[in-house]
Amino acid sequence: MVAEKEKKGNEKVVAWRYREKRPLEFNTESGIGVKELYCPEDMSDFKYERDLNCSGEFPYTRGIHDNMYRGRIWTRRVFVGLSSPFETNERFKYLIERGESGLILIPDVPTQMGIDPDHPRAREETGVTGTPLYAMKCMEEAFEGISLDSVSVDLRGESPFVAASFFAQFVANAEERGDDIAKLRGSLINDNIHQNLSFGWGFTCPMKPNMRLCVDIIEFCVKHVPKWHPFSLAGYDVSETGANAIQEVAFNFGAAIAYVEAAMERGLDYGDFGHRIAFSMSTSINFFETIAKVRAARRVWARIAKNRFGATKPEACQLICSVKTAGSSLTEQQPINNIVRNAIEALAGVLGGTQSLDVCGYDEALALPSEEAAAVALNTQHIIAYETGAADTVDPLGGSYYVEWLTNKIEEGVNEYLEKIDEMGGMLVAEEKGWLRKEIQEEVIRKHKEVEEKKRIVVGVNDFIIPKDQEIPLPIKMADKEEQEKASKKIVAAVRRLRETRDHEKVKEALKGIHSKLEKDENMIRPMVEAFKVNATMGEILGVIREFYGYNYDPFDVIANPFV
Amino acid sequence: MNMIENTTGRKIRILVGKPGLDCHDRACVVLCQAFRDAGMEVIYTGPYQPPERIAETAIEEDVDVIALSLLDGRHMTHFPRQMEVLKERNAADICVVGGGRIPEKDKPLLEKMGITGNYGAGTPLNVIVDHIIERVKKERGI
Amino acid sequence: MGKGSRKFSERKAEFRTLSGLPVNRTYTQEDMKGFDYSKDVGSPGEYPHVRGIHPTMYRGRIWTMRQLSGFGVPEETKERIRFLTEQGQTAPSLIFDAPTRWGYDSDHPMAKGAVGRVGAPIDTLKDLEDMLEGVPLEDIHFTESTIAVIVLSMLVAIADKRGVPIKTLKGTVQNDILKEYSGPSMYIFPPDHSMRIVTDVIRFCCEEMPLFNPISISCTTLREAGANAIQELGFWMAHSIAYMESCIDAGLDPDDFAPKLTSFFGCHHDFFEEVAKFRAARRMWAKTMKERFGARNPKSLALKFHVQTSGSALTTQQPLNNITRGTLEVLAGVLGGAQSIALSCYDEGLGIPTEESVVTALRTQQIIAYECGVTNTVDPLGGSYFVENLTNRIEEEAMKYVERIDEMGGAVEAIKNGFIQKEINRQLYEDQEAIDKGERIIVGVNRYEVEESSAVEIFEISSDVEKNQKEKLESIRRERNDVAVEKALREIRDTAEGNGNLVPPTIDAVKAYASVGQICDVLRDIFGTYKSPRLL
Repeated sequence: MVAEKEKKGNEKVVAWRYREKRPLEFNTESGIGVKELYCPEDMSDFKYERDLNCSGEFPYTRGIHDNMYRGRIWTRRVFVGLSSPFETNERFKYLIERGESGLILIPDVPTQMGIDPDHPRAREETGVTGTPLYAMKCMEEAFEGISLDSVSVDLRGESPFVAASFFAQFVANAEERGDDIAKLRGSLINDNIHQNLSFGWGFTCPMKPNMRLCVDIIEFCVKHVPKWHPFSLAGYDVSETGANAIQEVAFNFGAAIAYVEAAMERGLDYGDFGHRIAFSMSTSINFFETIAKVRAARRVWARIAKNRFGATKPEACQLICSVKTAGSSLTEQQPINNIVRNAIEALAGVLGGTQSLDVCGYDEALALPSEEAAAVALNTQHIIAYETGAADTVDPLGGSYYVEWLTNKIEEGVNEYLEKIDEMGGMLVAEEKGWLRKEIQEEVIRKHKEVEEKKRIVVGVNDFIIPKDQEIPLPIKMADKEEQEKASKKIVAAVRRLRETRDHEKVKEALKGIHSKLEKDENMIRPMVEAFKVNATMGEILGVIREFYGYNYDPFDVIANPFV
Repeated sequence: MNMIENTTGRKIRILVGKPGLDCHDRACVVLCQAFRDAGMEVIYTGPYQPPERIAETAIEEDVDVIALSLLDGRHMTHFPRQMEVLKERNAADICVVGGGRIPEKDKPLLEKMGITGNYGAGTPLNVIVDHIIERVKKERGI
Repeated sequence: MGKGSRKFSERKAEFRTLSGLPVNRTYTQEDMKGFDYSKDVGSPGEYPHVRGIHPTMYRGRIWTMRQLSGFGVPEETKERIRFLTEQGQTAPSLIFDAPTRWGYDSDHPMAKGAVGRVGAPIDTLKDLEDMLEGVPLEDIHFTESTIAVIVLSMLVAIADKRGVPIKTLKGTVQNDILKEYSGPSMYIFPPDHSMRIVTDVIRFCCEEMPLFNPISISCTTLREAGANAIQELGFWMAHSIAYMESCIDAGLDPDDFAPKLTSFFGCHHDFFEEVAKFRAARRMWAKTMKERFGARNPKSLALKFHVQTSGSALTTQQPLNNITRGTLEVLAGVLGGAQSIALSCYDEGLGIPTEESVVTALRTQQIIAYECGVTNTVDPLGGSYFVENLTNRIEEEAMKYVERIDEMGGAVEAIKNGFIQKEINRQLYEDQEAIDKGERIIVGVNRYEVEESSAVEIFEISSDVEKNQKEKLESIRRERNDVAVEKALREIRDTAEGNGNLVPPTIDAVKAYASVGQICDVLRDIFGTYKSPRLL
């Protein structure tokens, strides 16, 4: 037996791996061919003031502030979307205690679709992949004991339709608590094009009311919540759907242009809100492409703001971005390896010069993050911020032949896409035609083929595989059917109780108020806030809006408007 | 006549379905392409389909196989329900295969209900395609 | 320059690298004044090699991935090597236990309790034979300096037995004793005698083993003892010069042996400083070889080095954080152009790394090699204003140490008079003060501390190791030919007293199964032992 084992072992040990064949061509993840060497010749057309300039100066390639992280470390976040607002609140506090400087709240899918937890299609999905947020009470529970003017809150609302409801809930709760809403800090994903592109939720949130609510939110924030970023573009989600680095930036900007133009049509001045736009971006596992992407994005956006929107104020030309490490780059195989990937991606985000960073849990590919995974994700950021020195000088890679070349390449690619989108008649048309989705799908298939053919190695997936039972046991909280069902039932019971105990007349009155504002074509945010204050639910409020625009009260057409 | 027709008698018609409210459909895009490349006729329902709709479409389109994918951990709710609905509509002869984020412990339970495959991320596409062809051959007695 | 918008005042009055170099708010073209690309940097594969020593670097071949193996009885180490090879390790790196490195057998009173603890015990050739059974002899790294001559002899003996011509043998024996004198480290003989042994090994390899690296010059132990990056580099260069001179004194031509010298660096958590350190090291090496020693062979000018990520940068608190640290350190090593890398495992602070943690260390390297695209182009940071500037400044500062040591009469003198140790202790003290005062933040240690229940498994070494090893040694003593052993030991004694090369008689001795302790006892008898000046 021993002898046999020995023999087997011997055969296995014979060849060290380094004789492996290396590829003949090298590409970035978005398929840009990479040369063997970059040297001063690759910078021949380079002009420092025009292309880079100092940080804090147009076109902001090196960063939007002159001292960047020497002044303030980026906002460190780890997303939270646990199955109830109460658990979410506990996790928020756990993370704040561990040095988190910004919160992210992820709603569950029914919420994203604008239906309440007791909706027949929602009942079992409530709280599965995020927090149910159907009424003001949810915000009250989620933010209980957390001071809202000291922490920045990222609400991942996705479509403006739902984002408006979210934001109104948040504002309603803040006012009820007695907070000054002018002091609220945070951002709101408010981007219909991307949510439809990424998630196909167009049917739940029709385009027309969406565009209106998008601009309503901007207008409301400009007037009443000046520190808030009312409109954050969801490039991250497009990237997760499969868009490459160039597409991600181009589609982000294409959508932003569409919304800005809609807001300018409403009569808003770009100079009043341009500096409040934020872009959510993904990293990819490709280190330098991520860095170059973030740098290129700042330069392209500065030029768009100046040339297209005629921005004159410097702040209105500065691209503010939040970067999240790519969930799609993480593997369910050998989850501990994801700590490595997250570290690489987080560093890329920082060297790119992001304002805010969200690191995924190592268990992202398997479950909602466990406490332990969230703590590691946060510590990854602390280590980069304080131990590596990467935050001690501005744009440390500036001048690198390769990074500058790649930044230019990405800029070129983005501009080409933007021209195509303009030719097509803008982002809304490109989206309706299905062109964006087709472009992304081609990319998804290309990338997958590369992995299948082992042109791209994913450690633990197509190489360096180990049996599942030999993986390192880590704290991962796998979804459990019984537990999920119990949690969902609790939420459904809570929403039913809310409906029974609230003042029905007041709700009716508030919903009427919404209807009349819709008719008068006035800003919808304030009446939505008021409706939430009297415990109207999201499903009800959005139902009224849908009906006004000639759609069914319920996007799934299962339930009817109970107030008629 | 392609390889699939050779081995199974006629082209395999397959419906790729995403029940529930899971939005992660990147894998479905890849799978659809792989099935097409393998010579199958592919129908994709898109996400957010109730089991009734998936069953209806499957019957209307006369498919041989339904491939279900879920990455939100809800497979133990939605996959069994899909099987019930198919039975109710006398369409239990359609092969059902599953995939997504399925822990080892759930796999035998799903197999017992007749849902085979149950592959996770990183499975080579040809493994999935081969499994489907084998399954269809078995059902057709080839 | 830079009148742009400032939103927040600076977090600190001044920013410095870990080794204390000031860091400006921003680096621009202005900082590149006087920069001459072809003279200062050059293309990879060309003098002064700042961008790398091969034109294709990792596009041609990924660095060698090794993890230290060595614990328990030799068979356990063998299993670990096999296991790691299956997991994709590209070549092994072996480490021996403390008694072996002190030159004591496992049954020596000094060895009690230490056998197989922090490395594998080697008493006689039999142990290494057992450890390497079924393992190809090609490209093994022996992290061994005190008894390097014995280890090399054992390798030669095994090769002879297997019929492998030693002319074809690749691999490295660390054989770098100078670093040991200035840290809390291991040495047996006084520095001058140690230098002779080092030189004998180099000369033997020059003559008999042309593909083998007879030395890996390293100040990593000094780094771990508290030296900063500049000191590490300065002392490394000074030590290298001492070895060069010793070999030249022994009659060797620099172009014959310089291509065979390799180096070994640590990698701490100051990301850009480490990258710059590696780039600066290549330039210092190239210049010194060319200008100081008149080397003309292009291979003499190209610095090959291994990187071991820092164990002292890891924390015992929240060990999973160490995976992040290890990742960033490896990334710095790769962006610095290393030829070979090993990680300190995330549970290193807790004990011998478990299989799982070593696999994670390997996976870290593999993800960086294959997934993140940093290997797609050569020296991706080349041209960065900050990195080029830092490369220059680190070289300048490190060369100041070389000059000071030159003035003292060389590295051996600087060791004897305690200069190097004093410098390191000063740095160690300053760093500790910075951590205590909170000026330097270590996550989980002086910021973001939490109460924790460790989720990490700890590796246990079986208590039978010492007993088994003693029994094995006893049975070898009974079975071997004592006459042959005595004869070989006498040969070593005679050679040590004269000027001959110590390697050939040592090969004969290990082949006769003389033990490490016996051979070292003979040498101790001739050379004496050494106590470094105590400087605290």
